[in-house]
Amino acid sequence: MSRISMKLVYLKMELKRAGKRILPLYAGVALLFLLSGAIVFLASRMLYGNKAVGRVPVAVAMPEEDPLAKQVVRMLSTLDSVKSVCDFVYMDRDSGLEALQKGEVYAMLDVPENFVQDIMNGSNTPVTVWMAEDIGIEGRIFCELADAGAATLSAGQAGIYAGNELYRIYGLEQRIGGMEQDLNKQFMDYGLQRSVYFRHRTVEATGDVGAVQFYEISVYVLFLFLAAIPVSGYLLPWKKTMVRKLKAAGVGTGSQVGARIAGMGVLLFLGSLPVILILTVTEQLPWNRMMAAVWPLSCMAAASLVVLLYQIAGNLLGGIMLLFFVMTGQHFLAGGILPLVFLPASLRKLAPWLPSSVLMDSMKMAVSGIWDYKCLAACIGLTAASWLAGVLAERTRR
Amino acid sequence: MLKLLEIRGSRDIDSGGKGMRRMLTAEGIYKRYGRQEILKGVDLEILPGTCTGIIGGNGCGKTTLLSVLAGVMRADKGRICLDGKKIQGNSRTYGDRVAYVPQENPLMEELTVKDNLLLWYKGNKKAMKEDLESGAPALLGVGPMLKLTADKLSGGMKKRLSIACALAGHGSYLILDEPGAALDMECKADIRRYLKTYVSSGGAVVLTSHETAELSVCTQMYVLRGGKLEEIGIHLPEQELIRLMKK
Repeated sequence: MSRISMKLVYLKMELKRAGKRILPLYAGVALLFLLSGAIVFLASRMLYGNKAVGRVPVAVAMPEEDPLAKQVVRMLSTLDSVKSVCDFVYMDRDSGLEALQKGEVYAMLDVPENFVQDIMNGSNTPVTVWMAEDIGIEGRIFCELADAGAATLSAGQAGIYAGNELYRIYGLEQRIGGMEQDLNKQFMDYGLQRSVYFRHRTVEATGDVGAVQFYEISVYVLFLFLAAIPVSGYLLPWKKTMVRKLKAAGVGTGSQVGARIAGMGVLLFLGSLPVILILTVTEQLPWNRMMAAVWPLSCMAAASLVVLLYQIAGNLLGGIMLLFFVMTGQHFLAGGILPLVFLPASLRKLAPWLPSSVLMDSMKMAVSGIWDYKCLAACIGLTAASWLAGVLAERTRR
Repeated sequence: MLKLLEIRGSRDIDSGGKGMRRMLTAEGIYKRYGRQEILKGVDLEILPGTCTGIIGGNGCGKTTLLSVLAGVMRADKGRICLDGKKIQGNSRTYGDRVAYVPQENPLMEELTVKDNLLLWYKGNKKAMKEDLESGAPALLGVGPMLKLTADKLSGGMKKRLSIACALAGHGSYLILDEPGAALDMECKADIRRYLKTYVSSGGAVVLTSHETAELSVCTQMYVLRGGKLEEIGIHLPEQELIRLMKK
């Protein structure tokens, strides 16, 4: 009983110690948000150039007297997959190249003379696609779209040519026109309906949440880790004599590390309170039962990692350096600064095992409102593993 | 009447019908750090109402010996008995009965003096209040600084607070590792005065020191040399102590 009461008293004192650090924490938080904001801003500039992702204007230069080509291109521009991203701007070739050089369009389609007739007769004069050198994310999207479109069209063409060949072999040349019309209709109805696949789902590079929410979550998670820097004094491990005296009084290493995690977790909770409140009131973040569970849990998980790193470092400067480099490094590798889809495939395999991924996934779960018990289990597992590692680090340190 | 006089065991204790004399004993204590053997069979007997001084050169193992005696470090070999019961490796029994004040003050610097005391009183506010009126904290002059945070205290005040915290369990053995180190003369005198009161109340003190004035309160003296303790006379002049340490 006495040992339990000693542990509770020790926990109370640790929480009191943590409480004394709340003002330095808030001061540090303001600074950290400026730094984090700068990092995210620079990352988004690096990723998107200095423009936001928007629609992709594309110049289309067509021969003057080719109504058939115009009809085909106009038909292409009405396809869901094209019109959802691109705006076709019709102009002559010289004006199109000039617009491309000025950056007014991201690409130019130069449609040759007799484009449609050449498709029909199988000579297939290609459409020339001009791209700017600094194409940015919009240009890359257009490239992907053009490649996919070309592949789809060539598959369609191959089908029509094969049909033509078969009709000739069986002496049905007079019915080729009807067959082509039927095939075109079938192909347009089924083969090119790419929009069907995306009708009910928004695809984002950032996963289940929008880009803004993704970066809000990313900054929040990075904040949880780095907010410990202004309160480093609290995280310094006890001197050997204190550890031994506490142990003799019934507060073992596990309880000591556990109480420190609880104290730091409460600090992070209080530190993030204004941010969460502002985001919730401005409806940037939804407030639900899931958020109420995940938020404190994420604070505890982050606290356990922070405590572990200071236990390993054993001193103030070492702790700060270790925390900063390890946490920002793993946050980058976890896709917290650049979304994972933009990182090399080898790094992507590592990402799910990183602490930032675990915390970001938990927060994404809370934001999207879809229960994922694996996320919660991972968060709890991360806390428990860090506590255990912290205890081992403390014992090794001694 | 100060509560200090109520420290445990001012008479011989009786456990299970067997009369056992109160004492803290160390028998054949060995301790090694890596390849270096610091303690090589130390024997020591601490009786109530005595003050034992241990001198020795830097790094000779004084702190290690006190840590083993106080139960905060395990010896590699040997036996520690408290009031006739073997307690080596069972630090639970140490908590209250042996009060240990290490060189570095084990305090929570951000917390107030009151909170630091409360921790070692295991949250028992009533006991703490009583002691602040008539116990060790009162004698040590801790009362007036209750609301100050520990990091605002002077070295002397911190040492007094550390002693008061260590004695929260009314331990009958007080082990101090260089209690006067880096303190001013007035503070050292205050602590000496307190130690005399503690000993005269039936408590036992073990201390290490490099200062003759501090050792003047001792009723028995030992020199730790070559990993073993050797009894020497009390109130020896400084030159003689230096000679004995170098011997």
